Amino acid sequence: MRVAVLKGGRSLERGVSLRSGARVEDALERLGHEALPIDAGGDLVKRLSEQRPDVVFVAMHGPGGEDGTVQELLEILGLPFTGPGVAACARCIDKVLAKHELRAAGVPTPDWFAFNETAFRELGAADALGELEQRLGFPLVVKPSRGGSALGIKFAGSWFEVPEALVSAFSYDERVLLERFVEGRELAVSVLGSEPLPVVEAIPGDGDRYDFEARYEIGRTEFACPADLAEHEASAVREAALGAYEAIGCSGFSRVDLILAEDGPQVLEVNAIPGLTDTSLLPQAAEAAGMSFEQLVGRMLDLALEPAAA
Amino acid sequence: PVFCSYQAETIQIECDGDGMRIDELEAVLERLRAEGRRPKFVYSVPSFQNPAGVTMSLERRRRLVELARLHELLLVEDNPYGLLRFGGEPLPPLYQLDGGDFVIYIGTLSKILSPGIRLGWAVAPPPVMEKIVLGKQASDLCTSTLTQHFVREYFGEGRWREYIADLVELYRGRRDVMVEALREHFPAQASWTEPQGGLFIWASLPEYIDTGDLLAKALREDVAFVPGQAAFVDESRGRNSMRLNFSGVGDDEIREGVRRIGKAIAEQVDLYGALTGEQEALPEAPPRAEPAETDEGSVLPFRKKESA
Repeated sequence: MRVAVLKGGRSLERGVSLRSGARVEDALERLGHEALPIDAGGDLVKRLSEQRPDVVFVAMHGPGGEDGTVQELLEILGLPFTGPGVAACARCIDKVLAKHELRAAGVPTPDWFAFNETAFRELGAADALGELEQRLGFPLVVKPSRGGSALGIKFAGSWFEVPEALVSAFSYDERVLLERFVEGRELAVSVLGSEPLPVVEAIPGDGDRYDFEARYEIGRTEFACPADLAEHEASAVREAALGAYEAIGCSGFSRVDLILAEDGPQVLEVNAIPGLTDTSLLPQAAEAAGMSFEQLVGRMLDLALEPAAA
Repeated sequence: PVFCSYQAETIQIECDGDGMRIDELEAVLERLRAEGRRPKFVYSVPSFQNPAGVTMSLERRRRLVELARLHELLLVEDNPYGLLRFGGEPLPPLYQLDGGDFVIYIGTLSKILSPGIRLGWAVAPPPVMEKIVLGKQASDLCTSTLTQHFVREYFGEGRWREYIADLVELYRGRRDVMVEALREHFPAQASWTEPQGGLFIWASLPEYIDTGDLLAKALREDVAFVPGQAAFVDESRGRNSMRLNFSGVGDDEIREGVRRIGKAIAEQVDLYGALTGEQEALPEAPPRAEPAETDEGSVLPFRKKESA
């Protein structure tokens, strides 16, 4: 098969995407397919129209590649592609939208408030912040609604840290959410097709237990896969992850990030197109399930070509 | 950070308008001596330091050289910008003050001829130089002889002083443009250095602004700067500062770039004002609040000009 690999783009996650893409290309070659690497730029549509691949592997992260934009173009061109469709991507990239979907579907997700910048500038939303303490309590997490990785995510331990955290988060997006901080184990469940893969746990290094920002620094976090969970915990986590995947309308594959609190799992977000680099969580989970990276890529292509997924 | 990649343990010494705080260095040296530890060397860019753009005063230079003798400590004097002075009196390099016993002097052609030449020079006490030569040979065998010939020809022609004089004029003009643009577009709470040479201005913003996040906002406007955090080994520092480079682009682009960054900052100042201005009215404000946080004086003015 001729497989176009879309990677790069202009998002802040360009670097990760290029690594994901390169690894997928290697796997495709080993599987005997013809890989057509495309760094997504101004000539994207032209190149796809000329090359007419059998299927498109979308290895892009962040705005542009993971928010439904590229998926929309691929639908217009009538090309089958890997990963979730337009609507699911649009819901995943917007954490606020995703949380509404989760809540509506009865999937547990931490309480939150969301604000537009306009609300503070023009509508006096700061007055409503008083509700925060009663409804969410401290500490709380302040996040830009759209944006990848941990960029702009701040942790407010008290009332007086909220304005500064909001200023930071609004640097990335005009909409920001303030979310109740849920203490617990940090887990990620990748779903392939409709099957949850083994659970991955992120274990922050010593002393970082309460330092939210530090957890995202490379080298300060270790990963365990499969996570050491009791069977009832693992099944609750898988159920929540699958519930989230379905509520968002994902297809092909995605990764669901959760916290396992004392009273059960809480879904934080769904990543439409998780990283596929050699340190990424989805490939780790597949490996724990006994799948090589080639087998994983092969399965993703099969799912993209299934009539139901289109 | 460069030294850290060689797994060196580094201690950062505070800088103020007169360069490295020698009193703090003395205290650190004393503390290390008491702990029975010996630093390998003290690294410094005495003239127009990157990123702050500040220059070490003559008095401090003298004291630093004295300390080096006293502690038998090597000083590494990195002087890439020394010749790019637009104003004030040139100060003697540490090497000159010391006579060369304890100073390793490093120069480069990157800022006075072309960065692409990848050529610099070092002056060091002979035993140190032997080691430097060994290390250099181990890392790259030798510097390109072709570029060395180019450079010799260039300096042989004797026009280099003229070229540096042109550069100095150019950079002086650009510094003036940038300072003027900063006055016009940065909020009143911001401050910045007005360097007498070099390539950089160091600007500090209100403490609640994280320049790492501000950069994301600025990049959407196609303008960039170096967040201050990059200049510190301790990552909790420099968060509200930024390094601005005025050497690389023309006057109009400097004005436009500063205007865009200023607009992004003004939006944040504005937003923070809207947030904290309302904060006082909230009944839930916890009693452990620091008074300064709720003082009228700490509420930032609303930037009407920018929000229009």
